[in-house]
Amino acid sequence: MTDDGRKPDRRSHEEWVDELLDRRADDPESRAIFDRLRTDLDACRELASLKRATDALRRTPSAPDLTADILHSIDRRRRFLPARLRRMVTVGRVAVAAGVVFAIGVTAIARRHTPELAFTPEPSHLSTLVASSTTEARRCAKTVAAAVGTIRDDLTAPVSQVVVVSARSGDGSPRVIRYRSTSPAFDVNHHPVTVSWNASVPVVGGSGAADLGVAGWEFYGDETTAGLGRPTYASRRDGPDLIRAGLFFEFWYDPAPSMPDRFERASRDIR
Amino acid sequence: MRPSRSHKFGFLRVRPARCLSGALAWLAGVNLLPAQLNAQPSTPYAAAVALPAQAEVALVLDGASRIRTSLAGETISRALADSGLLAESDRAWEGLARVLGLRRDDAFDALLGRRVILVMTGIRPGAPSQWAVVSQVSPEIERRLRAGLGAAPRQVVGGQPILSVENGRYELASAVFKDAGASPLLKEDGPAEPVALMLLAPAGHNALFDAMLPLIQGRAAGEPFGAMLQPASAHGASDGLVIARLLSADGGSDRYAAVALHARGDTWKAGTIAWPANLWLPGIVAGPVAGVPRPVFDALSSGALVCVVGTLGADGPPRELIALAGTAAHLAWPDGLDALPAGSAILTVHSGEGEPGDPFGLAVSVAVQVRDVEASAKTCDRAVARSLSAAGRDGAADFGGFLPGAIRTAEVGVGPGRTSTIAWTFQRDAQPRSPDAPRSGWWVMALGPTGKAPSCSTSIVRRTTIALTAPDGNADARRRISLGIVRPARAVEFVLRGADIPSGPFALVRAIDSAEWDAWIEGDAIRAENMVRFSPVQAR
Repeated sequence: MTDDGRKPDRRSHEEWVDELLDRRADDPESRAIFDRLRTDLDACRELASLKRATDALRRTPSAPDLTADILHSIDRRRRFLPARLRRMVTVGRVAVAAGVVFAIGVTAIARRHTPELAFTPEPSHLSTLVASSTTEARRCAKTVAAAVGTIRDDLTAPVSQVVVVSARSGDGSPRVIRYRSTSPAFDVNHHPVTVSWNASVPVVGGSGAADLGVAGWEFYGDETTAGLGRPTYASRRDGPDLIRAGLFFEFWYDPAPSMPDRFERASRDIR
Repeated sequence: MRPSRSHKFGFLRVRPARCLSGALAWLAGVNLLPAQLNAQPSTPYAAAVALPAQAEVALVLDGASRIRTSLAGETISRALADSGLLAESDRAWEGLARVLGLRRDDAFDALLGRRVILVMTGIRPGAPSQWAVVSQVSPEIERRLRAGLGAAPRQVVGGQPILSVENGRYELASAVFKDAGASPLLKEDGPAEPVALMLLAPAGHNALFDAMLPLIQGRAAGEPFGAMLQPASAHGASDGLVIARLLSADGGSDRYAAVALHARGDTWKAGTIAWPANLWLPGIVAGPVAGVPRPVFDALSSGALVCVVGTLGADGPPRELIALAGTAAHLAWPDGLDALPAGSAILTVHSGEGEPGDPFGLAVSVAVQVRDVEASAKTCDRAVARSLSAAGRDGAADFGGFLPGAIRTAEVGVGPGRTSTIAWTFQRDAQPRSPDAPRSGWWVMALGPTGKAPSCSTSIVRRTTIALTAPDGNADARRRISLGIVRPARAVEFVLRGADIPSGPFALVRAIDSAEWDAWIEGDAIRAENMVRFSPVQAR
């Protein structure tokens, strides 16, 4: 016990100083602490040290002020937005989300009601099969028709080699004289080449094919279509009847084409 | 328009109660159908009769898988594969087969192998065309196809769900039945077991799809063909049936044709009934002229590449002869020829004995039935002489109709250093072919090799004349329109000139050994029998 009847204070001087500086001590205690400080050298030293540290903290440091630079840098990287703008951004984000939801809904509804609108590629096995089958069936029919035509022409070629007079009586429809001939084969670069010509003569009036050999025929070409393989006209004006005939000459050379070559030509004609 | 399709599955038009009732009705219908309908196992004809009458073309094909694996089917498959004409289709089948988890051939058999029905409208040029296809498949294949194609329900029509396939490009409807007796469209081809029908058609106002829907549910179509196809009932059982209905352009009666197909081994046969005959051939049914008897035709066509008997038209050669004449299609009868109206004309191409591929080794003969042999002889002699004279063959004699039965000959140049002989004659029939033509007979002409061999023109003329004018021991009572045979395989071998072409369209043509037809008038219908015999499969 102390002289004044109180218990002896066994706290260390650090605790005294802390209580004093933290202002936890009431007035009697503060006076007691100050009394003790007067007698405790270590406590005085402690208090002085803390006082210096506190004073040092309160002094303005001598380092440069980087506040403006730091704020400027932050503002450059991510601008500080005003509150109004921040609200607008929020509303925008909500609108975008709503738009996405709306688009998904519209897509679903559209696909439900108009399925032909293809938003995503889907396998099209049926479409491919239908399209290819249709196309190739037509092509197959045309190709086979061309092949049959080529064979048919070959089988009836002997008939085409002779003159045929097609005549109809009395109805005024044109009569046709056709003649086809082929020259002997020439040797061109060791390839046999023949020259053929084909004449198709529609006769209007007159008495027939024999008249073609009669002198007095006048041949002339159509200026707009003159040329090899173009129509040439002949007329005889000194007869009792005006006889006009159109001659069609067609020349070609035939390097003995193979069957596939002729078939290809026939196919092109059909296509 | 589809006014009945008001029950949409759409987001905004869902009507759960109706959807549910529709689904229940569909389920009930599927299960009760066999009890409701006591249809007999249907033939292709019975199935065709049940189809909607708006169809302009209908094909009912049974047993495509069996036909595919038959000798003829393998020949065609091999020829098509060699020709490469269906390469893209083959790849497309491969893709569809993968969806089903099958090989290509198995997928074909599974989807089309039992019974497939194709109906089409709008076959006239310019008309909007529609089609729908129905196939009888197993329930497992039906399930696989729906799943593989990603079919999604879009509508319900009369309790039948309509599925959308491939972004709505096609509409699909299907139903499963307890057995094949539940619908006239089904074919009973085995023990009673569940079967499925699948109906597929392009989407978008396809009236044909709507008209076919009741049939998928085992009900009758709204307006079926029914009695309209009665004349085709004579066909009986067949492997397939094709119905064609040609609409009248002026509102008159439509024309019908029914072709029944029979596939056996290396031979396909087709029987055709077309009615009414007077609409199909308005100018050809009037002439009661006895045609060329079948035995005569068989004698003439023996060994020939082509032999066609056609009926003379009013103003020229028969159409089938013109079609077969090729580059000689400008042929016309000589001026003044007294051809027998509704008589016959015959075109024959004989293979020669000369060098293979030499076109001048061939002989082409034409025989025309004339009303008056003597008068026709004068006309034709003059025409032939004029024709040869115009060609520069001076000295071609005009026989003036003298001794019509004598065979006339003239040599014609047909190429450098090549000559052929044209031979012709006239012969009366042993008995007149028509009551009003007591001097009827034939003008027979041939152009072919010179000489006396059987393949030469003079021999052909003699042989043809004898066959045509012989007394009819068993005259054919048929009012024949057209009769002919072509032998494509031999023709291809001839024109190939020895070259071997293993693929291409010629290989396809070569796959056909012979094609034969016989068409005649019977009552108010035109009847025709066709037979195609296929060559053995060519080794690769």
